[in-house]
Amino acid sequence: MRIRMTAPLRERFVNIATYIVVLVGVIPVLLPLFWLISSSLKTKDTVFLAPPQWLPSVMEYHATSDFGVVDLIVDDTFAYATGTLWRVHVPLATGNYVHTTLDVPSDVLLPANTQDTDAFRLPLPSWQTTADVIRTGLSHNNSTATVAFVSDMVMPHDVICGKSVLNPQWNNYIKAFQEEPFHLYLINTLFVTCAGMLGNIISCSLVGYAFARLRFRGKNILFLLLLSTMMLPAQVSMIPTFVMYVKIGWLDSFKPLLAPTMLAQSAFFVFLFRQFFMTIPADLEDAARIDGCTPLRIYWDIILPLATPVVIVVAVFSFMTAWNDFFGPLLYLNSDEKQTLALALNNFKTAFGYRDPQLLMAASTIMIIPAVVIFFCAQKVFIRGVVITGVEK
Amino acid sequence: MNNPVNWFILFLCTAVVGLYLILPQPRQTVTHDPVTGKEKKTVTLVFGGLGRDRLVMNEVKEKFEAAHPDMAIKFIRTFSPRKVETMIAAGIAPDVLIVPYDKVPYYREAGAILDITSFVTNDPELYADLKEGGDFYDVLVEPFHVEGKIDMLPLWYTPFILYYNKDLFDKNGVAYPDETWTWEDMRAAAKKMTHDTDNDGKIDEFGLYFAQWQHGIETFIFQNGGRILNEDGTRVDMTDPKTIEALQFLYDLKFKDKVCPSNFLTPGVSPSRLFRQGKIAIFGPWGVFSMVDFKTEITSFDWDVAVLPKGPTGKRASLVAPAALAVSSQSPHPEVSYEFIRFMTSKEGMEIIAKWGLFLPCRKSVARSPALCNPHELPENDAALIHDVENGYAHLPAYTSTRYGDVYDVINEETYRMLDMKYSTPAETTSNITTKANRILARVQPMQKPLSDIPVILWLPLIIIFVCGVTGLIVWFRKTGRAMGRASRIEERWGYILISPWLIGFCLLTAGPLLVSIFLSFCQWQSLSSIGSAAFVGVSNYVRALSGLDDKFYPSLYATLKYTAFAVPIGLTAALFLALLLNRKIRGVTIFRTLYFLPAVLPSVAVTILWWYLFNTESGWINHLLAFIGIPSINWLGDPRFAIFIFVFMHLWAVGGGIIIYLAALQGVPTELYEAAEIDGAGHWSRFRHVTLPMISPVIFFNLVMGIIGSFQVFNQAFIMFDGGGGPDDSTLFYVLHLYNEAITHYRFGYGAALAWILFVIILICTLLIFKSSSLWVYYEGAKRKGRA
Repeated sequence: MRIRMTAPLRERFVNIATYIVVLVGVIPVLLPLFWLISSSLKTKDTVFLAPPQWLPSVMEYHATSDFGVVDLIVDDTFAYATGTLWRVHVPLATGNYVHTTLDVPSDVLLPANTQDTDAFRLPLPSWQTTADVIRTGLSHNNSTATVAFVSDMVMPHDVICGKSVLNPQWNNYIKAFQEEPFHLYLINTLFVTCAGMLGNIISCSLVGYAFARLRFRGKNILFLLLLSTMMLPAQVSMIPTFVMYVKIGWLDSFKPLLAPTMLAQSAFFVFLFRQFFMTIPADLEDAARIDGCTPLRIYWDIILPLATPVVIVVAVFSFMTAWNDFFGPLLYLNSDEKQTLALALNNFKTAFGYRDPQLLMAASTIMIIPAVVIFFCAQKVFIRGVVITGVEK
Repeated sequence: MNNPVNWFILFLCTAVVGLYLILPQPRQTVTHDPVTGKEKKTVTLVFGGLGRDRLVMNEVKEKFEAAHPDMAIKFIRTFSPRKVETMIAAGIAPDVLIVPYDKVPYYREAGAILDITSFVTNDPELYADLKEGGDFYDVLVEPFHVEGKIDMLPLWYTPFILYYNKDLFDKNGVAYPDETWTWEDMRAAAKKMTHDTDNDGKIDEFGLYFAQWQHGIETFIFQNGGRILNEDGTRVDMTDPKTIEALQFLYDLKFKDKVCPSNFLTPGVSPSRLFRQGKIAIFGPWGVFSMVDFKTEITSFDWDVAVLPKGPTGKRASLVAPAALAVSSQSPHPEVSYEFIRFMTSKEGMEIIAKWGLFLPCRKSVARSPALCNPHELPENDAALIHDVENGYAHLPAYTSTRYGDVYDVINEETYRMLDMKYSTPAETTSNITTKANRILARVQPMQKPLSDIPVILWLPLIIIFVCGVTGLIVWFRKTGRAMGRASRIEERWGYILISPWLIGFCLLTAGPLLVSIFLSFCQWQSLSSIGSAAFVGVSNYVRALSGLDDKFYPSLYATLKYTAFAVPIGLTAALFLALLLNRKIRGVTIFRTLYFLPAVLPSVAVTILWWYLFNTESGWINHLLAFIGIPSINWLGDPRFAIFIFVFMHLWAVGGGIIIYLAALQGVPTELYEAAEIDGAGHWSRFRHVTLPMISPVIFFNLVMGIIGSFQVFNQAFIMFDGGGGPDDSTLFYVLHLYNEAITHYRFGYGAALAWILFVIILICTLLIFKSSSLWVYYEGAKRKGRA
């Protein structure tokens, strides 16, 4: 009796606890993606800033002192990949201005002491203004900054308040395309993806159809062979296949990437089609066969239209495989103009990863977006696919 | 035809055709003169792709094409350091090759270079320049001709010099380095200039940084009269006391005098950047390639260059690393290609190189050109750049054979272990290098006959087996086919036609390669020569791996196992835990399922790039978050102890696939079981322990097997994270990455195939072990009912 009374309450408690855990757990899942997008909108010098910045923003500093206004303007045209060059513009009481640049690399922002992790000290070896600054301290939190100048010209401890201003750099996306012809790589990727999708749908469904519906000798053994290829690590046949493609002059072309799809080498897709075709009642074809239709005709007119759900699964999975594929292009594509997005991104990282991190982030975001969109549109398909691979295999 | 699938397929067909038509066009080998319409002969050349490189490319193109109206140049841009080798191997080599000094033996052995002696001897002016005392520096000509033949023309080189920060010298009252400087002067100066300016216990002005890679080390060894190779230059011998002494000097600078900054593997922090920031007083031995950056970026202090200090014995020595231009043996029009390399190595071409500023031109007449030594620009003492080459103090780096690159890899790795990780003393380091490098040099070349020499009779057993198999198949077909009717014959024919794509693919892409791969693993077959030149070497490939002769085999296995040991159990547990939570019927649970699954479907390149930033020591979020719970900053990307955990984290992040599989399994557990358990008074935990866990144990088991197989095949992340390398101290050299490097990067196909089969066996054993042990802990409903107990 007691159990029944408390059970709903207890259920509720557990549900709330579950919610909390699941919500907390989802943060680390989404945070990196958020950071990716946020970084893709940052200026070059704020990407590598320590401590890292949440939002694509710049600090704007304004302060008044007895001697006038001190503006610290973050100038990204002079900033170096991982450092920050501050241009300091100090109007003096006499009406003159002092301009100077100040190299404040992010890696010298060291915690001043362990008790106060928000305080950072900037050792500045080369502060060359008429106001000879002996020591500059910047205490930093998310929204305000205080710069204390100690000098004989500017009064000690002039307080400069800074404000973090949201400043997304949308043109990073345009710049990324200007820096590297990603649009060409996008065409390459789309071509490989679409051709692979087409190849997979047609060849795998034909083979699946034959295995499901037609009787021929050796069928079972061949089907067993097909299933066993699923278990074989790809590395084992990688070398001879690579050599073969090199020898027939297919290196640096899309053919090695497309051949396996045209030749129904994905055992998983064939298996999916075969399982589905097994469930279609035989009467449908029998009628057509009596009318003298060839199996090809039956396949195209009757069987394939029925297979819509499997075609969707295969289309989505083969899109994702081709879109995400890195190893294939790495192995077979060499030329600049033949790169796929995955390969181009990796090359961009190697060459400009430190120089233009924000552009690399923008390019990565571009590559991730189609995958995310397709995933959200077809999440049921994904889940079904994963379950089939996972459980039936 | 009014159903979506057929339309979708037709749409895809159109899309593919359309995309095919707008694909970026490949490089043209023939261009036409816009005026006369005459065909231009085009020379292709692989060259870098950064901003400054483009300027040089444009100028070279402009001037060369102006001087030779019937010729054109086409630059192939690349980021991949091994691109040219791949192109040579594939038979699509560019017409002109830039050959760095250390690649000379490799290119020669691969037969990639055309002998241009006849061209040069018919070219008296150039021939005179190449002769001893001619316009080219002798030391830079020497490596590019062999046995009286000329096969390359010297193009550019880098000397090794000291850069120094004048302001820091002034501040500390130290005299600027000059030609009388010795090691001890340098040490004393460095000590004087090393300070902790803000008294926080960390040094922030360093006296010295020296190049910690082969050339830097070798310079000091030479200056001390030590050596890398033995007398006749065939073996590595670094056990000479003079050599050890030189390393001891560097070791002391780093650990006793503490005048050098440590470990530079933090992304974004490079020694040259520290120098640019005015935090290093003496910087070198270092090449000239950083000078352009220094010239444009150093604004806050005065700097200059100087010759390297003399060794303790008063010996002056430094290294030069030259590069040359060669005509590819695959070039369809060598005379045009020769014309181009002649242009590039002429005074005019060298002027452009001088302007480029990354390297120095090899000609004496251009060495002091205004483009290079501008009196209005820093450095003032530009004479130091060419001092050693001009006065004969410059040496070429130690030279052995095609395995030269491998030997230098060993030197670099061991020095890293000594100077960055402090794992070994100088004496240990030199003996390690000597043993390891000699093992590489001693690796036997196949003495066996190449396969093409094996008489056909020995192939007979194989041929007989094959013929018997085919005959048997045909006989079986005949026999069983007799009873078939016409309709089933037609059906069967269709069956074979429809599966033929797969069958052909299976033979060509799976079964065939599988057999060849087994066969290859018993052969030594390097580079892409004809398969007939492969030599049967028995099990020596396997012996090489398993006996540790390949000193990266066990490290790669260890890295993979370490990753597996962390990633698989943690991943399994996390996935199960989350699946249990997401199996509850709470509102919005499908959204959460989707979100958790999301990372698993994202492109690995983009994801790896993302984590590469997140794990950045200074500006990455991971360290920042760890700081909140009081964990000091960890150098994830540079510390061999931690680097592997980057990949464990990435695996955990993408654990969604496992969650989905668990969810499917959890939903398959009959609710009656829970109800029954509840009636028996079982709580949450005991229901989980006694109902859920046994019921889903087959799926846990499945995930375990797949997890292990998957973790043995990690490649993309590791490759992208460390640009194809094995990470710090090869701590993230995953097995497949090692395999890829051996087989594809170095073209060791035989050894690569052996590695692949070892991998296969390892996976097989793991899987079998799990299968064997599964009866202890996996509960199969059906099996139990049959009365296993």
